[in-house]
Amino acid sequence: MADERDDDISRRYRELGAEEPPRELDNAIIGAARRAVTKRSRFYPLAAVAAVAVFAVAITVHLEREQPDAESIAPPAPPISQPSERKDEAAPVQKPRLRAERPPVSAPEPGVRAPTAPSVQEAPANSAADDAMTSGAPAPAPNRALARAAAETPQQWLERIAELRAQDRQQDADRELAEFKRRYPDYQIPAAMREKVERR
Amino acid sequence: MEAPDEELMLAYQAGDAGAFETLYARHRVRLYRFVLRAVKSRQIAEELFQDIWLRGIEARRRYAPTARFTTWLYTIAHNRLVDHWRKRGLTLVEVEVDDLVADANDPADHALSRETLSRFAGALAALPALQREAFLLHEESGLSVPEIAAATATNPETAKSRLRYAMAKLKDALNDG
Repeated sequence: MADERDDDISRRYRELGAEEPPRELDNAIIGAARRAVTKRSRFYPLAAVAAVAVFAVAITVHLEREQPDAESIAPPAPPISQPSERKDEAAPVQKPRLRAERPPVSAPEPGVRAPTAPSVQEAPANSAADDAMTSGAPAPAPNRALARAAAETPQQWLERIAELRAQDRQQDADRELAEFKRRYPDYQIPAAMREKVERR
Repeated sequence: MEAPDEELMLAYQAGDAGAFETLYARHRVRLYRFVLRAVKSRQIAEELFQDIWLRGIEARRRYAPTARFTTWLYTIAHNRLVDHWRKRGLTLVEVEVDDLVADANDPADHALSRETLSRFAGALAALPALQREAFLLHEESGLSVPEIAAATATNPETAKSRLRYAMAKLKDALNDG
């Protein structure tokens, strides 16, 4: 767009000064960038192990679910007059127990997701939370507070904490602030904001 | 030959933190000045500047080199600024003229009159927010009109119009002297 350039204006604009971001801000941003890509290598194996475990349990549950069909074509249960044999029938007893284990099958997902949802670089399971972080869409994680935090920018999150303080919801504010610091350990909270978000 | 921004961003996407540092070094000053002159205070500018980069870090996996990295980065910056302006009811904000003049430490700046600088800075501050943003994207970030349109989610005609209005007002301010 050479036709839009005006050398006089450009020169005057340059004369306004050459401000630079403070060094501590540089360090905070570069630190966050580094951590974002190094955390993956630290947690990815754990996530992979968790995914394999979930897959294995899911297969087991699936096979167990298949068993009733086999039982349905099995010979009818022996008469009541044979109590000793009934005691040895393990399958009908085991099945409900295995079904009762079904919640733990899905439990690892929030378990893995919850502590890692704030960052975008970790397990693939976090990708939905990642999208929520920039798109503002609600994350599917069960922890609503965490999902909301993931959808906020750091500044918006701090402002919400400040509102909690203003409403004298100190414990909520403490919890949110602790979570904020855990998620953004390098974030430089401006002094004015710090006064609003920290307990006095 | 230096690696282009887009290549560096893809390298960072693949886990190369050093690539991000190079990108950051290239863009930190321009992005900082862009934000600083688009908002009211240095403190807010620093918060927004940090937020913009963190958003970029968080969004890195969705980055695709379909456009210049600069356009992508300033799209994030624009969105963050819009959030900021909306929160403040799109009020006109002022550049801290005294600060700008005081910060002009380049020896060449001493030869310029404070009055001229103040008038120019005042005219820049007085621009409507979207016109000022268009000017800053063009002047500070080197974006073309189509790129400004892309970064600000508008059409090229509107972007060009904003930029021309901004340039005309700034030119008037200089000529008034």
